[in-house]
Amino acid sequence: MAGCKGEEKKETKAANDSTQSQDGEEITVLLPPWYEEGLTAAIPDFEEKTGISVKLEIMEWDPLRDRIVQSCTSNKAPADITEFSWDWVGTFGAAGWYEPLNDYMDEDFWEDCLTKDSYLYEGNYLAVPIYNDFRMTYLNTKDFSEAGISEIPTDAFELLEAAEKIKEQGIEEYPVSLPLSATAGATTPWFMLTKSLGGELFDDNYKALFTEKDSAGYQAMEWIMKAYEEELVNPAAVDYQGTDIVDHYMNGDGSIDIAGWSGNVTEYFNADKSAISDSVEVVKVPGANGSSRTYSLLEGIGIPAASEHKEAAAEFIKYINTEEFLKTFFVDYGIFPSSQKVIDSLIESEDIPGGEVVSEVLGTIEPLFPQGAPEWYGTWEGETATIMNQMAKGEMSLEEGLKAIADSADELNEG
Amino acid sequence: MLLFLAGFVIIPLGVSIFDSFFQVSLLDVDSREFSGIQNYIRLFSDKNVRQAFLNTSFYVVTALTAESVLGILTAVVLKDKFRFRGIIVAILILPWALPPLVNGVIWKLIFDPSIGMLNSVLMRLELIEEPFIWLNNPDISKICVIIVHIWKMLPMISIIFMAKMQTIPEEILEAASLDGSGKFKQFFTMILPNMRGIFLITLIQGSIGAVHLFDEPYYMTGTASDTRSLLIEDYLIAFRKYDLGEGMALAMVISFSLLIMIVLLMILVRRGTKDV
Amino acid sequence: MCKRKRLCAVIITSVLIIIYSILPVGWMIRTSLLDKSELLKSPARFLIKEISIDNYKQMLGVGEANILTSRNFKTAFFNSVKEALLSTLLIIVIAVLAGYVFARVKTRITQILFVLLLVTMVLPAYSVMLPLYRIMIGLNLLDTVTGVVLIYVSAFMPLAIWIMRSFFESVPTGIEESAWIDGSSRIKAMLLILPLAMPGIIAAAIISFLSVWSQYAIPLVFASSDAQPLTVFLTTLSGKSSVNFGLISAGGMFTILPPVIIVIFLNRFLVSGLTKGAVK
Repeated sequence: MAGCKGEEKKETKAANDSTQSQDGEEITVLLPPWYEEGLTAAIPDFEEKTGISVKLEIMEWDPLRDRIVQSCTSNKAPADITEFSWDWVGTFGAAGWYEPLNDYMDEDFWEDCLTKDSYLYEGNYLAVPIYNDFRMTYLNTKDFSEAGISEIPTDAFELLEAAEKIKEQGIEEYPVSLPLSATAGATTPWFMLTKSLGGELFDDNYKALFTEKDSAGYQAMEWIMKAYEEELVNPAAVDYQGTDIVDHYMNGDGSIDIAGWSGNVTEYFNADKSAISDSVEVVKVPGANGSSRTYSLLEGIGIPAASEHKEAAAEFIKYINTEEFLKTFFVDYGIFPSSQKVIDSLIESEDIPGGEVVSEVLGTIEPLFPQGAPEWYGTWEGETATIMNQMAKGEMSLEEGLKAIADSADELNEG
Repeated sequence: MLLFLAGFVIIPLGVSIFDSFFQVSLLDVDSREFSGIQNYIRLFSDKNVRQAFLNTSFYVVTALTAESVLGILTAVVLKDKFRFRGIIVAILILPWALPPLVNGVIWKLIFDPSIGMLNSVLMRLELIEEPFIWLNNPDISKICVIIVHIWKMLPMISIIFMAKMQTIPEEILEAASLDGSGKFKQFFTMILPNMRGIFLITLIQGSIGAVHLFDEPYYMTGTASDTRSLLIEDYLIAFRKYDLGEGMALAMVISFSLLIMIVLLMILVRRGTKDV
Repeated sequence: MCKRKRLCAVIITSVLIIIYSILPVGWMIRTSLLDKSELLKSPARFLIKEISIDNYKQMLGVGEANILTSRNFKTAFFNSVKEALLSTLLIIVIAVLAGYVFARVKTRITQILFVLLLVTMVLPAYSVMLPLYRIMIGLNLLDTVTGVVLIYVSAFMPLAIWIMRSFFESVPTGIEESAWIDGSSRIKAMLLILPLAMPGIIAAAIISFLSVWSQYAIPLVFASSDAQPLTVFLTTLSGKSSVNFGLISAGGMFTILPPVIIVIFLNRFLVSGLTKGAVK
C-alpha cells in the first residue's frame, strides 16, 4: 500500500520530465567504503546505458548510520540509494523511512534471492541484499597437521581442545583468532556459536535464553571466555576489532578464524595478499552433535521513502543485480552475492575457493532472530560488546556478564 | 556576529533545552510528550552515566593537575632566553596543532599490543617479555587515554605560563636575588603569586578540553566502559538508543556542570589572591 | 655553578621536548613508509630495511595507483583548504570588528554580550547538533562548503574575538582619540590602529585556521561527502575487513602538513596569540 502511494506521488511530481524517461537524472548512492572500488568501476557503463548519472558517496559505518537516521528524522532522503543493514529492518520499518521494493524488482529476482526474507517487514521488502556476509570458519591446516591432528574436529569443544594442542606444541602461540574490543564485531563469534551449538539467543518474547548453564548461548560464551583465559586467543584481542583480526590472520598469526567473513574467501586464498594462501581452508562452523549453523550479517541497499528519484534508483539496483555484475563484484572485490544462480555458476567456474564447502555452509545460514530482529538490536549489540570486553578483562564473571547482557535486553525491550 | 550566534548557536540550543524536558525519540522527532524533569531523573539513576561521570571526573582531575605541574616546570626552564629557544618552542607546540583524530591514529599505533612502538621498545630493552596490553587494561586504560589528551594540551598551557612569566619585570627578580633569597624561594614568593590570573585561564581551558573529550577515547577503545567519557555516553544515548530527550538532558547537564566548575574556579582563584 | 645547572636543565628539557613532540609523529611517518606485511610484524622493528613509498604514491595517484583513492584525496585536500581559508577570512573580519567594539565600548550590554559569547565555548557540539542539522537542511546547505563554513564561523568566532579584544586593549587609545578630533569616523579610526594590531590578527587567523583544519565531528555530519575534508576522508580509508594503517598514516601525514608548516614558520605569532589573550 505504502509503496503504491509513493509511486503515484512520484509520478505526478515527475510528470513534466517523465517523458524524457530518466535521462539526465542524477541519483546519489550512499554506501560504506568496501563498495567504492567495485561500483566506481561499473558506474560509467551504467551511466552510458541509462543516461542516469550516479554520484557515489562513501562514509564509514557508524557515521553512515547516523547520517541516515538524522536525514530521515528530518524527512529528507540521505541519498537515493543507501546501505541497509539486516538489523535496521525493525527500526526503519516501524519508522516508515524506506520504500517497499516488492514491485520494483521482478518475480524471478525475488525467487532467486536467497536472503530476501531478512528484509521482510509486514509483507514488504525494504531492501535488496547486496552483500551476503555470512560467517564461516577458516582454518590454517598446516598448524593442525604439524600438531598431529589428522582429522579436524567439527565439534566446537573438540576444536578448542585441538587449539590447546597446537598451543602446547608451540606451533602457534595464539591459535584462536577473535576480537574482544568494545566494538560491534566482538559479538559475532558469540552469536554465531550460539546458533551453531543449536540454540537461540531469545525466545519469541525476547526473553534471554542464555543465562542457564546448559543453554547454547551460555556454552558459546563459555567457549569464548575459556579460549581467552587459556590464552588460546591473543590477550591483545581486547584491543582488537574484527578488522585487526583479519589482518593478523592473513599475515599468518593464528590457526582458527572462528567467525570469518564470507567475503574474505577471496582474500585469504589470494597469494598476493595472504601469507597463508596455501594452507588455509574453509570449514563449516563447528557446532555440537554434528550440527552446524551460522548466520548472515546481511547488507542490503534500499531506497528512502523521501527520495525523489525512486525509479532511477531502482534502475541502478537492477543493474548491479545482473548476473554479470555480481560475478565481478565477488571475484574482484569479495562482495559475496545472494543470488542462487550466481553462486552456482561461481562454484562451477571454481571462482569460489572451497566452493563445495561454501555451498554447504550456505545451506546452514539462518536468521539470527527467527522471530524478527528487535528494534533495539543495534543498541543491545553495542552494550553486549562492551560487557564482553569487560568479561574478558576479568571485570565480570561469566554469570555476571551474561546476566548483565540479559538485563540490558530486558530493559531495552520494556523501554 | 549576533546573527551568526542567533542562527547557529542560540536557536539550536533553545530547541535542545526544550527537547530535554520531553520524551522524544530520534526516530520520530515530531511527536513530543512532555515529561518534565523525568529525563534528568533517569540520567542520575543510570549506572552507565554514573560510570562515565566518574571517568570524566578522573580525566578532568588528572589532566588539570598534570597540565599545571608539568606546564609550570616546562615554563620555568623555557622562560629565559637561550640558543635555539625559538626552535624548541616551535617543536613543543606541534602536538597542539595536530587534529585530534590524527592524534588518535598516532597513539593507537603506539599503544598497539603487537605492532605498537611502546611494546617494541619495552621488549627490546627486555623490560617486558610478553606484549603488554595498554588500551584495554582496566588498570591503566584511563591513564593511556588521558596521556594522549595531555600530550595535546600541555604545549599550549606551557606556552601560556611561559609568556606570563616573561612579563614579570626582571627588576623584581633581581631585587629578590640581591636579597639573597634562593631560586626556589624566588619562585614561590615572586613568580607564583603573579601567576594566579593565568592559572585561572589555563584551568578553564584545561577543563573545557577534558570535559569535551571524545575523539581520543572513541578512536582508541571504542565504547569500553572504563574509558567511556560523558560525551561518548551522550552520543550513545542520543544516537544509538535514539533517546533524544535524555541525550539532550545529558548535554545540558554537561554544559551546566562545566559552567559551574568554571565559576567555582574563578571564585577560588579570586579568594586565593585576596588571602595573600 | 648556577649557570651550569641551568644549562643542564635547558638541555634536558629540550631533549625531552624533542622526544615528546617528534617521536610519536615519527612513528606515524615510519608506519606510512611500510608495506602492509612489514607493518604487521611483531614486535615492530625500529629500523626498517625497505622503505616503501607506495602509500604516498597511492594518495597522489602516481604510477600504478588506485585512481579513486587519489581522486578522493585530492578533493578532500582542497575542501579542507577551502573551508579553512574561507572560515578564517570570515572569522577575522568579524573578530576585528567585534573585538574592537568590545575593547573600546564598555557598556553593560557589551559586557554581558561578551560573557555570553565566551559561555558558548563551553557547549559540546552535540548539544546543538540535531537542531542545527534541521536548520542546515532548511537552508539547503547540507554537505556544502558554504554550510560548513558558516558553522565553523559561529563555532570559532568567540575565541578569535577574545584574542582581538585583548590586542586592541593593549593598543593605547591615543592614536584614535587624535583621529576623532580630526573628525574621522570610528571605523576610520579603527583602521588607523589596525597595523598595530596586525600580530593579533595573524595570531587569531592561525588559531582559527588550525581549529577548522582539525575538525572531525562537525564535518562528519555537515560535510560528509561533497564538502568532505581530509579528516573525514581519513576514516573512509578503512575497509570492511581490513584496515591499512600504512595508508591511513600516509593520509595523516598530509593532514598534518599545514599545521606543521604553520608551526615552523609562524610559531612566533601563534605563541603571541595563545598568550596575549590570556596574559592580559
